[in-house]
Amino acid sequence: MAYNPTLLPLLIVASAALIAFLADALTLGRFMPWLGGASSIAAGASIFVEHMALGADLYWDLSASLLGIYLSLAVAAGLFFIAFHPITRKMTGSLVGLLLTLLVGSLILVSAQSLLLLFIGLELQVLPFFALLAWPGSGRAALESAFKYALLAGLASAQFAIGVALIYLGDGSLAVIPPMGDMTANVFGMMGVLALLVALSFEIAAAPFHAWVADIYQGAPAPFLIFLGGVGKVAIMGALITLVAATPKLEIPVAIIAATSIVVGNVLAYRAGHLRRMLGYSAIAHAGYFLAALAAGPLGIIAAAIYALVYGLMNVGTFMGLSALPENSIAIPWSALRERQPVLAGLLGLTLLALAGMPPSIGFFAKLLVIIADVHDQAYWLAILLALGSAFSFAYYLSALWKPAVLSNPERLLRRRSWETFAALGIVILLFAWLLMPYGLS
Amino acid sequence: MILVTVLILLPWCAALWLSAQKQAGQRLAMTIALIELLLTLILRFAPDSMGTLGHGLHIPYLGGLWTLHAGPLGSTLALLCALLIPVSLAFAWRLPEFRSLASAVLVMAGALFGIFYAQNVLMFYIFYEILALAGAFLILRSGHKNRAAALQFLLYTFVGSLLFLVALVVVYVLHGQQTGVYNFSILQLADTRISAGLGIWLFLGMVAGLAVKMPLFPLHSWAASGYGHAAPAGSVFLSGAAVTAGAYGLIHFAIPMLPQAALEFAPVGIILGAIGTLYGAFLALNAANLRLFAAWASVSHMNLVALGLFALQSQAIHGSVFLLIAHGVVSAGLFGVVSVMENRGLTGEWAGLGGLFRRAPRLGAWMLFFFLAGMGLPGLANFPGEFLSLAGAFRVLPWAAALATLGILAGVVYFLRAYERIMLGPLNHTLPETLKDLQQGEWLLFWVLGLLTLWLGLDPQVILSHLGILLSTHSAELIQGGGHGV
Repeated sequence: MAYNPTLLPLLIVASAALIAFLADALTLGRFMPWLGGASSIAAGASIFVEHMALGADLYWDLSASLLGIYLSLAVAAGLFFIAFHPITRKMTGSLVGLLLTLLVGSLILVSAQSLLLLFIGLELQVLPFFALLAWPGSGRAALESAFKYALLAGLASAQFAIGVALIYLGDGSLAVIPPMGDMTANVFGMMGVLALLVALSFEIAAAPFHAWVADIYQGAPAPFLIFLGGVGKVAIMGALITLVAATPKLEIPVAIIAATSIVVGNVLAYRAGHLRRMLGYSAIAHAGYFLAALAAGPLGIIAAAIYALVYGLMNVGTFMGLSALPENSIAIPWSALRERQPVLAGLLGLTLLALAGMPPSIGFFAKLLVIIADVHDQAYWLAILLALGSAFSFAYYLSALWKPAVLSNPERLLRRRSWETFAALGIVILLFAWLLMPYGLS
Repeated sequence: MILVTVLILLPWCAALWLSAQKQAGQRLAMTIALIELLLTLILRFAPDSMGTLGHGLHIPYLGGLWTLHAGPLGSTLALLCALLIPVSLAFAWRLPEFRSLASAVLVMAGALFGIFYAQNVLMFYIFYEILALAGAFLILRSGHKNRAAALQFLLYTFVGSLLFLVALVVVYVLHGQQTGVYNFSILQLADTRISAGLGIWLFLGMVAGLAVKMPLFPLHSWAASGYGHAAPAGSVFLSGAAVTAGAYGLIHFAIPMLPQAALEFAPVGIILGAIGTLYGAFLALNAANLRLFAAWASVSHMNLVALGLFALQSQAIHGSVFLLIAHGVVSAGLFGVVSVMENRGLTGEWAGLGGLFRRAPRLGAWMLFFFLAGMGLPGLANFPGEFLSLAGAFRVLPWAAALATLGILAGVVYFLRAYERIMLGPLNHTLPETLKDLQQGEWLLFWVLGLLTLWLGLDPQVILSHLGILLSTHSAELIQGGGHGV
């Protein structure tokens, strides 16, 4: 087989995953987070080198390489971060192996140009979560959420497979950009593309396919939500970008799903009353903002890629902060957290503001780009809906910041010196990363 | 450029430092406040010291985000704002929540300086949002620590300002499509061609964002709960300085960007301002306690400012800008009086007051002084502003101006009635036996504010004579050509 350079990042991560799976048997598990992190960074670097390389079915185009580099670095940061978390004490090697498998799937999702590869990527990134969400050491709620996730994600995968089959039935091609016209050339293709859209909307929890998200966010262990929210969803967003960029006709259904998600997500999040559930519901609204960008033509594609990236960063920050809290906390005990982990508390507060879209954090600039894209595409109603939605979102994000919560036993808060460094880095990124925007766009 | 950058960032650094400290840090906050006052004085009276206009933080498609320029209006308002920082801090000196109040005030001050010196509209917007968040924090952490009031303030301002953002982005995209230059600089955006039908919607969006902060009539209801629940020392800054941001945004950004739409909106704006003036006056007449009274009085005056602005007539705009500045000083005095009373353990409910003059004659005298200023007594600060706004508005829409004049009349009634309830009449028996009159520091503060009030009232030319240059740089064509004339 000829050497295919576009596969290099995948090969690096996949071989590291294999090594990690074997490491448990050799009792070398505790080194694996570092190996996994290093290989993820190597994968990110190789994507940087492969930028714009067109392979057989993989294409590291602008949005793919942007998201690919982000995903690799996020997984690396996540691995380094959870290395200090007690949940990684058991079976560390397998854990790292699963997370790297997730990264392989995610990288395939963002860069694939073939429906079959997209499906493989989807499976590779969904399957590890079945195990991760119910990892030994987490409670009953986690088990329940893992079961729900398995059921619903399985359903979504089946839907995706049906979509692929229908498109193949229509034009006999598995390419995202078929040789003639686009995938919606005939009625089967149309149905198939819609099925793909539904399946992917399911995965990013856009309304009306959002029912699972709050339960998972509530029950799953916080360290793995770093990966679910900050890596898994971003990869699905990457797949959606590929799909919609190739099929402009999808813009209308995407706009409808976006509008529903913004409304439903904000209303549900406002009424949630539980910190994790609020974050879950607000994820629906963020899926809506992302889709609102996607519905806005070529400029919207760029805005969507940046929104996905920023959304991922904010999620990583949020759940890094929440990892220090006991799993069942329904609000953030700010005073205790500030005492034990001052910088991490700062990061958590900042991510909540960034999620709401407070300038000058990157959350604001991502939303600004989406509004510009919508206005440019003359979708004024989406821009106004987005503005109202994000103004409304201040109500619940700031309640989470303001609500006084007391922790009965502050000793239950984890205390890790090294996390403070991560948090400081995160604060710098969230506040100043928009300065890099001009370099990312070129 | 460097001077202004320091002016904006210094209070933020100080606020960050304060929030990390354990002790209260009054000295530090006051030092910073005085440095800021000095800097704004330099910038106002020696604008050349600003140096060259730089284009910092240039980002493709957004323009130079840190592009500063100093106009006479911005510098004057910045001076007002810088004056109110030490005043507000001094009134809060002994409060237990001094640290959070001071950091909120300092963050707001930095944001306001950013607003007044911003040349890029996106930069203006970013500072405007930070101002709103810090204002909400002030309401949340001082006085009654009421979360609902803070949230209400935040929602009002954020819904408004995000609509402003959408309208701004529409102008930006249109300008980009017409000229190929995508940039948020006001100098660029002011030359966008916009159809009349779209323009009026855009202007409505901008008014929603900017007028909510003033607060203009139908958007005013956050003011009662905001000023009513924050510590009065914080309200000094909130009502005196923070509200000027909305008016400045209208004069400097919204009207020059959409002059035609502004002209179409003018009658509506005048009517809303007139209704607000009268309505605020009636609410003040009926206010449940002293804080709310001062809040509604401030709302009533700010609506008069809006009336003068929307009249788009030279005299009225002169009056309105003057009143904006005078209102800052007088409102600081009013809330200062409230703050002094609350520091002595008085709740401010009418039932617990009466005959206070016998116990604290100095306080009574200063209160009378500021109440008279608030009424618009000739010779004190508010009078020239009120007179000119109304005189200008009479030429444009006489009946609405007449309505607003009724509001001024009602002002005389509510101020006198409140004074009677607090200071005159039989001594209320629930008043504590030993009530201290004004002490040295408080006395000094009232002297400063009082002399300013007197100065502005007796020699309004101090400001009015500069407004000619000041407004011509902002909207000369508008006022002489397109507006309602001189």
